[in-house]
Amino acid sequence: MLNKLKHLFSLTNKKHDFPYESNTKSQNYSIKETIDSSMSKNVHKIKEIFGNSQDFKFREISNSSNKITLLYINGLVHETSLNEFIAEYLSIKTNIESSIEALFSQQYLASTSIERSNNYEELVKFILNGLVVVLVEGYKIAYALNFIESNTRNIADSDLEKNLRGPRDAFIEDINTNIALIRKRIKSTTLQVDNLIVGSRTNTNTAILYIRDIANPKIVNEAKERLSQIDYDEIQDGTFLAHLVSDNPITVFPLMYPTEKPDRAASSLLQGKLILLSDNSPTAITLPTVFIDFLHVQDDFYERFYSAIASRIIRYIGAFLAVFSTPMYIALTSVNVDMLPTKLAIPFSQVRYVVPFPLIIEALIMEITLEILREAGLRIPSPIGPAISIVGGLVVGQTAVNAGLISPFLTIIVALSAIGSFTVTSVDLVISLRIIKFLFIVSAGIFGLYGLGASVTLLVIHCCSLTSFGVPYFAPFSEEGIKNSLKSLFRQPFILDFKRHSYYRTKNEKKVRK
Amino acid sequence: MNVKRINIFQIRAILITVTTGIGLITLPRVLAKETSTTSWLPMLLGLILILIISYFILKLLNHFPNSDIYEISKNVLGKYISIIVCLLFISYFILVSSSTVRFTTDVVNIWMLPLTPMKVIILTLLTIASYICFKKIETLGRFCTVFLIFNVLSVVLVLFFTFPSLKEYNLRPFFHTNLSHLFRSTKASLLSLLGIETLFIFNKFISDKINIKPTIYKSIIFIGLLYVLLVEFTIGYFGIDQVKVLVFPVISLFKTIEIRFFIFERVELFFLTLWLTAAFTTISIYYYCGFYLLTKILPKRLSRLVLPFYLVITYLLAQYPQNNEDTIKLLNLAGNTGIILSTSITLLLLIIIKLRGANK
Amino acid sequence: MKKLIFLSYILIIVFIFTGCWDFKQIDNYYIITGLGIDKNEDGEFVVTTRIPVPITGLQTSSTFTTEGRVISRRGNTILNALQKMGNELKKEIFLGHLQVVIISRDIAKSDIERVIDNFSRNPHVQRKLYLLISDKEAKDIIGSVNPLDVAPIPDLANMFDINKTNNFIPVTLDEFIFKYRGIGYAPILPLAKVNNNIIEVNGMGVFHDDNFIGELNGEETRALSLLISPDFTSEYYTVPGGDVNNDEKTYITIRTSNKSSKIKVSLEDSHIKAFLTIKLNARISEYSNIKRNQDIQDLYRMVEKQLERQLLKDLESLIKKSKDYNSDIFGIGKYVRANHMKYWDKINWEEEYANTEFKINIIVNLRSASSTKISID
Repeated sequence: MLNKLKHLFSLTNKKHDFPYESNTKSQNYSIKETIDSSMSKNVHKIKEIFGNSQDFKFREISNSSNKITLLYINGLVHETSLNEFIAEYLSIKTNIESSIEALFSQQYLASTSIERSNNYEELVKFILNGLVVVLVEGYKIAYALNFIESNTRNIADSDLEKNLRGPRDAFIEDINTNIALIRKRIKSTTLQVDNLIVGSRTNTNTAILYIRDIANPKIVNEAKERLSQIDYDEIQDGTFLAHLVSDNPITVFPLMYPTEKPDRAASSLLQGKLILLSDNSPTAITLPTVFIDFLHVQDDFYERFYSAIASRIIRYIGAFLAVFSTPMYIALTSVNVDMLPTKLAIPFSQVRYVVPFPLIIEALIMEITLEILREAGLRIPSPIGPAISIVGGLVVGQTAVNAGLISPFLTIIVALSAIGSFTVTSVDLVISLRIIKFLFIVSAGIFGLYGLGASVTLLVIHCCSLTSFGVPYFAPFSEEGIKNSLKSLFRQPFILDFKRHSYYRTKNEKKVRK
Repeated sequence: MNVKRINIFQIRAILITVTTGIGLITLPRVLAKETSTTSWLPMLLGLILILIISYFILKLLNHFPNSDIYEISKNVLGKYISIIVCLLFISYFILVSSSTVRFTTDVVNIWMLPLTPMKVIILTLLTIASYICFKKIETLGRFCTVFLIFNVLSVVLVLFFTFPSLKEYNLRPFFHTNLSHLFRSTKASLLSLLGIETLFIFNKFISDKINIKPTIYKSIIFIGLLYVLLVEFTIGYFGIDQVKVLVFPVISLFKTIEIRFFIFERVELFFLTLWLTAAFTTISIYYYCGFYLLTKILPKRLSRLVLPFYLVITYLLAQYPQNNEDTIKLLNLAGNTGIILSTSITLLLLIIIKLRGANK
Repeated sequence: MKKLIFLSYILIIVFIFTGCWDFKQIDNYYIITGLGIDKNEDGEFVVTTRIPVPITGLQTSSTFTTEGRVISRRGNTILNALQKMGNELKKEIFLGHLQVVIISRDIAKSDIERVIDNFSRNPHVQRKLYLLISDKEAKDIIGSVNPLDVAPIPDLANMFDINKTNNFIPVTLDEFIFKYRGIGYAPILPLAKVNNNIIEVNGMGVFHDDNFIGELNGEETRALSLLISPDFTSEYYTVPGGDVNNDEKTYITIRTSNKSSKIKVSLEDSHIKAFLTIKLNARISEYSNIKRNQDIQDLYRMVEKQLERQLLKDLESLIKKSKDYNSDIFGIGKYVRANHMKYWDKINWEEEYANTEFKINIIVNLRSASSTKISID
């Protein structure tokens, strides 16, 4: 399926010849060659590679013995420390003439970390990543100094994932901080961080995190393989990675769990999962993920055992209502009418006398209105927020009922489904649930309860065919007996919880030492 | 290529879900007609017979742990005869799936959707079955495992709610029958317990071959005992005279029993929805088996046309019966074919293997 | 090729599935809850129902109404008559929420099979469909409106659901069919009559050989109820107090609980002996005539004896009546069949029932005298 899609896209791409094509081609000389001993030649070449971009800076400095050039991108580099470095360099006595290599390696100069390289490609990469490249006259090797200036916001609470108890910090838009946030939580030598650069133009730093002696090496290799095979020009956020490495890119269901909370990420790592991080993104991608993970929150583990189970049950009921309340209403009032309790059937039928639309249309209008309200409310600036609730709640809800456009029972049902969907904390899953709800509404309108059963079956088959990095999406319900299913549906108290879930296929299933 | 893609839980689920199906709602009537209050006996006899059959099938499969029926018969009988064997099995699978589809359609038509044309319901059922054929075999295994709980739940719910209103006098006398009735009744119970023959296809894919035998016996015994309880409870609730005249005794049973504080009317529709999962799984497993064998014997270049062709044949066959009685006749025909086919082919292959082994 | 087939299949599905055959919107039907069935001279059914006047305002809280139109049509079958009704009304009549069916005595006498058949075949009929026999015309019952009613027929059904009055046993369609179609059990149905626009359900109609044969009055019904559905029998019994020989007119009201009944059957000299055992706990609820220095234990013994005597009298008259009608309302036949199959095969139970010998055993256990003092010291 994936290949077919790729084929489809490649066909459409070939249709146009972009006028800019030639421009990019001119740069296409080999930048893999090693640098020259002549400094000016090197500077010239790198300048050419950057196409005289205005933010690309170079400074030529010479002290008594050596001539060096500093190459960097304006804004990525901390100017003050750079100036300090220059001052220090100029002040170095000429008697240490042995070599410039010794100068750097013995760290007379810069106290930051130093990288060495002798080809253009790497140097360009260094510059793009915010390092300062130092070219020395007569040397066939260049040095890169780390004066990176980080302009990120402070670590703050996440707006998307709220928790009652537990740590409040959330990932920010800097990959190193994010890795550090996880490392702070797992002080173990087995936590492995592998870096990769993805995105043919954005050259985004990404990292795969896993715990070496828990995570399944097959999944780790598969993830690395897929990441390195990504052929896409931009990676703006971690979610890009999730879309690009997914097992089934066209399914409605989310196959990987994006999280902003380092505690959830660390916890996932210890369950044997992998974390994908991407630079400039506060989203960490958890993989492999099974369906039931989307209904669980990290709070479940902070609460006591019973309240965690209770709130999970409520969440399952909420998710069920979010999907099924409107379709059930349709099925019961328009097809299997005899199933309604008699005391409900008579009011339902009488109230519907005044409503001008057929039942299914009425329900669709109501549902779509709700979706519009929700979508409008999502990205609205907060001062206008109350207006939405007034317009939505009073005008659409109350007035429509009073005007006889919509029956009051349906309003209750739709509100129930909306409230139910609020209990599902995963934004990704809520979207899928909302989409499949419309499928259910239509099939319930045509075939009633039978249609509902049939479409649920189709959906279950679809979900069973899904995998997330080889782990079946409906695990453990589709893999194991009732005992493990219950264990994953609810939660064991910690004193009984010795084992990791087996469906993540971890190397080491034991959580305790003995 | 890794072929071991079905684990032990999944094969258990496949066996249980393929067995629970039509029998779940008609069996009490069929048995009550023949053996009245002694119906538990033919059910147990049927269970023993099916265990014997599965013993032989497992023995045969033990010789060829990594092959399906096509490869086994090809190995033993040669290519051309194996194609004939496969064709027999394919026709059996088509027969079973189409008659089950038709029966389900009848039930849905009577109880849920009286005005919807039959062909539409047949098509919805076959669409679901065909959708599974698009996917790989492990999808089928997972699907059955997910639905297993609903299948079993449908029976357990009936038992649970019927238990308080069982009448002891409806169950007595425990032993009141004669041999010819017993024989016919046993055959009926045997038909309803059939499902082991799907192992001819699935055995190849099972990952854990060591634990396979106890699992299979356990799941067959589980279903058998569940059916014994179901039959006894239905008779115990309705009384023998009433069971005989009800076309779908278990649905009627669920309709009649009182569930306190259940707000909805017509509770049997919830039971039916649960039962539909059993029907879906039975249909899709048999349908998949037929499809699998068909792709095996046909050349690769035709493989794209197999599914539409297969769908049309099943669709037409499902439309063939004129009325409810015809459907039941077709079901019986399918069941008889299944028993004769699976036992005869198994024994034949076993004998040939034995003879060859002796020659060597 | 594969894509083409797939696409055409999708198209076929989409076209086929656009017909909504069973899309019956709830407001396109008249949902009726009661049906009265009479028979006219020509042997046709006269089916009567009552369609409530719809309330169209959305603001009114009550959607039930006592206002309604009573409509009745003739037809050879029930559905035929309903169809004729539908032709006249603007919407179809929906039977899925039928709660009470009232059958006239004429039909019960000879033609009940024709009525039962329709409802037992129709899968859309509810589980709790109560059957009633009307004293005169079923039409009158459907048409009557008690000023206390919110909705006459659902209220009647609700009365059957609660079922705590003491002079009828509610019978649903299913229960009736069990006994009607089964062997060794005579069906019974409650009797209703309408008096001054007030529906009164009192006593049971008894069937023999599938035909209405006679009726039981309130007391007999109560005794029967104690035997076949002890949990649903009304709690209070009032028995004469004091010495029976004494002419003193005092009465004790007793509240009973934990009632249970048991039927046992034995075959002796090729005729059936049935043992009926009734056990109940009781406590005194109302007795104003307690004498000074009366021994409590004596009082208890006396009350127990009185209650036993009362119940025995009721049961004996009930048994006598059932033997007169020759209908096995207790279901003795079921036990005979279960335990003495060979004997059962030889005889015709419908005739043999009258020869059954009954042994009645009533065990009353008086527990207390409720919350007030037992005796005055």
